[in-house]
Amino acid sequence: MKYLPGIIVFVCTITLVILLDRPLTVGGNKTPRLGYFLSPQHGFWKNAEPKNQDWNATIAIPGLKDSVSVYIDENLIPHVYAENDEDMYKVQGYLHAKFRLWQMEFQTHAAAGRLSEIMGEKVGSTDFVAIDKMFRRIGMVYAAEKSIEAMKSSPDISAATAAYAEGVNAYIKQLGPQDLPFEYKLLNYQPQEWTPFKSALFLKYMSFDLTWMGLQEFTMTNTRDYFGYDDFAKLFPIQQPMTDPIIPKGTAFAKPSIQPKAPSNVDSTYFYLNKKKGADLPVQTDPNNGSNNWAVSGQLTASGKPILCSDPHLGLNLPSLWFEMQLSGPNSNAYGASFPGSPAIIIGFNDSIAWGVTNAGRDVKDFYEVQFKDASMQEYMYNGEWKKSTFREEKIVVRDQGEKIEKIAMTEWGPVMFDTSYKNMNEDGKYYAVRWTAHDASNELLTFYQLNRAKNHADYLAATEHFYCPGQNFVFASHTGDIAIRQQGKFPARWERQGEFLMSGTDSQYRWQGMIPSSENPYILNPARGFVSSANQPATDANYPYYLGAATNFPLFRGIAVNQYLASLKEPITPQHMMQMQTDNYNVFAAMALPLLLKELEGQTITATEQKYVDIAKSWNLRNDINEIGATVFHTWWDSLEVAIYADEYAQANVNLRWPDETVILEQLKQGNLGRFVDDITTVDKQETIQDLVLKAFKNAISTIDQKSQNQSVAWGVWKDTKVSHLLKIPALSRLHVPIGGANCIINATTQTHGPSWRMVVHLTEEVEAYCVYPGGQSGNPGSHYYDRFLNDWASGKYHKALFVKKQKAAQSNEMKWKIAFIPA
Amino acid sequence: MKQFSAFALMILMGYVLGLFTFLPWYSFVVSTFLICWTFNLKPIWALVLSFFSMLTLWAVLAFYIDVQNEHLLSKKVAEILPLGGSSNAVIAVTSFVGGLLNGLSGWSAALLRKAK
Repeated sequence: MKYLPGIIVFVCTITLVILLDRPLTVGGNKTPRLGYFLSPQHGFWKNAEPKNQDWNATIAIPGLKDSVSVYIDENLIPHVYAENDEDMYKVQGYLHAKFRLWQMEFQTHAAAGRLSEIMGEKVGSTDFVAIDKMFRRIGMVYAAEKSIEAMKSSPDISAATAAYAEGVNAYIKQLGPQDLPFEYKLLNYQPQEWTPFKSALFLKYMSFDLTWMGLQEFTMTNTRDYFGYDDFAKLFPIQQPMTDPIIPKGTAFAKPSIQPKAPSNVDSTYFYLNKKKGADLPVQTDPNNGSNNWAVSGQLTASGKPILCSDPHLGLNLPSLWFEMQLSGPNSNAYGASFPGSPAIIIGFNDSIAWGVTNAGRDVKDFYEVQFKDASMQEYMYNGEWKKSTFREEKIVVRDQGEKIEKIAMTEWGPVMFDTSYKNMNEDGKYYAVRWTAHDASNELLTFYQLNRAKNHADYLAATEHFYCPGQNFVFASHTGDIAIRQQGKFPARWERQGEFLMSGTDSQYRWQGMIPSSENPYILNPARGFVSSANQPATDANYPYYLGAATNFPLFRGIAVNQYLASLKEPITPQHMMQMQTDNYNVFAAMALPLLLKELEGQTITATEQKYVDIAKSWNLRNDINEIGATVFHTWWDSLEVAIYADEYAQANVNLRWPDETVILEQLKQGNLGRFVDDITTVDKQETIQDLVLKAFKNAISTIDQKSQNQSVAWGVWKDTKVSHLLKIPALSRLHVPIGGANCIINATTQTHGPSWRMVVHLTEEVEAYCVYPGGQSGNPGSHYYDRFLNDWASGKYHKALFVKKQKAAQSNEMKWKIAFIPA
Repeated sequence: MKQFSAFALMILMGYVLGLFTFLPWYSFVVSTFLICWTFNLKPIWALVLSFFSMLTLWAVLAFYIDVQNEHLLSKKVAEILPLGGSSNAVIAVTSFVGGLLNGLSGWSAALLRKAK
């Protein structure tokens, strides 16, 4: 009995230890292991980096052949000087891991459909099992397996990816529990070994992001079949007259080596009236994923040397997708943006050349309806015969719950994404296989590897040759004065509109009838106008002998804005002009559309408040700067107009339809003919006119804006409210309310969650002069002052100058603040 | 004097064991138990001293880190936990958790020793 108090307290102590050492469930979410998390010697406090952190170090890595010097500048940008390529990539892997390990692993887990392994089945409303299923079923792991085979056949790439993985693993191995990145402590899990396969997965994730384009075959088919061919052709035209293509209009092209033939029954076989409106996929790719790049020749610059600019637009996240660094080895000296997760510099420059990319936007994925003999999916009909399918078993491990198996049938076309166990958005009970170039064996990394070493235009052409998916517009400029742009990728030769709708999988006539030889891809060298550019618009005019895809795949305004801006530059161009241009907020869409809207509004009865906003719109300088209310009025008015025109017709259809593009509506407004959509079908006895809709849209827009203006500013910056979210969507780790202008139709293509993820201006003078910035910071650690160090500069249009120097100069430079000496262990 | 020595030793052992990060974060529970047992403290003293020893150690460590870090991470953690975005609240919770666990351990040792 006398022991009882002691025993009780002792048991309480043990219980408390156990409780503090395990995640607890609070409100459906898991807490970290609180004792560990809060312990100042183990937990998150160890991630709270001193502001004056000393980065000097000597680090021994096993397998290093020589010592490698890394100088680090005040922005935490490492400059790696190695004696051989393997050491260079090993150290790159180590540094990526040192600054971005959690992100690298999280992104590859996302690509591999393994998020529920770390996140559990659900967090809040996010269903991670559904997300994982989707990535498994679109064949991401399958694609990475194919890709790793291709990488293995290239000695350079297998060596680079293997060395990179060893570098990452060398970092992981020396991590104590106290050193784990913050997010591992928060979510309570451990990093796993890195492999070249994970690099392949990461690169496939980029293919997904840039070419997947969602279930548009379903929505396009539904839209065509719901509205009929005529209306469909008006809503989704093949070409847009306002297009200013990448290759200047009127350029002649050689005869095509492939002439795809549409099957004779192509229009009739796939007309079916779907009746159900099911759910879309849990992860959508952003239709704003695009980019700008351009290069101006020495004829137009003050120095007589070319300037190249590149700003890829992607989802804005922390830690940032990019990591800035210099990689210097015996055969290469490259600087630019690298992908944590992959060796090499992805967008950048070296001593002789510079390169950048924008997305080609070509359709490289189709859905085919497969007819199986029975629900076992063992055999499917193909050209009148039963063909055997194979199967992939994808094991999804759900944290704290066990495994789920996805059994995916593999066919001639590719993986059968939708079957009876995984419903498509039409819920038609049919089987659909995915044909996607991302599934084809390819070795895109070889392109970057060779670009890092390229000396001239011929090297650039040879390097880009290996690039299959995602198709990109590779812009190029060299110190010797060449500028070029090439749309490179593996693109199917399509008959007109092939693959825009669901296709029959029983008939080989519906296959892609060939891949366009890369020598026939759109390409131009040193054009007369003195610049090359791209901004995701169609690559060519109608002279190009291959079908590029429906106009809806291509945004048009930025291409027009870029070319107008470059053509308008009168004085000799300097890098400063180019930085101004990259951050320019001129709204070419509004310049075309606003006068039309204002004209339709003229003479109509409006209130005094509404008149105030008309005056704001009229006096607006057409720039989406943060303080402009005119931009808010224009965009809200336009969005509201689209709703006024189409929402009534679209609401009646109980199927998933595709919404037409703003360019279509703009063209129709110009012509003063919106077709039958102009009528508001919810009013019985009235036939509306364009004026009616423009007025209605205006009144709706102003009512929304005016109401909001009571409590907040309605200036564009606040209205748009750009945020850079942490990958886990935790607000405390994100940067909210970033003051930046722009819009998706503007060169500074910043929307609420999306925008220029890297900005680079490279002047190819004797000693290359370059300026860079990105919306994040070099450290992925939320406890580091480098976590979002560049963000304010990015928002306000500032850049930092790249310290692109040789080793001897780096060693003496007082701009290099720290040195890490890597030595063989 | 005995009280002071026990107090100082608990802090020292807590800190030293924390340096060996391959040991669990709660290793101080064992050292404190042994110290309170060995010093044969009165239970009330054991409770008070062990509570305040770890509270002091964790508060000082967390405070030092937080100042060096200019409260960057503690503010973020204070939003996640949630503790209203206050760095000091995170330091307070941190040190209280350390103190509470250590206090119970020391107290149980003293109670058991006394009963022997």
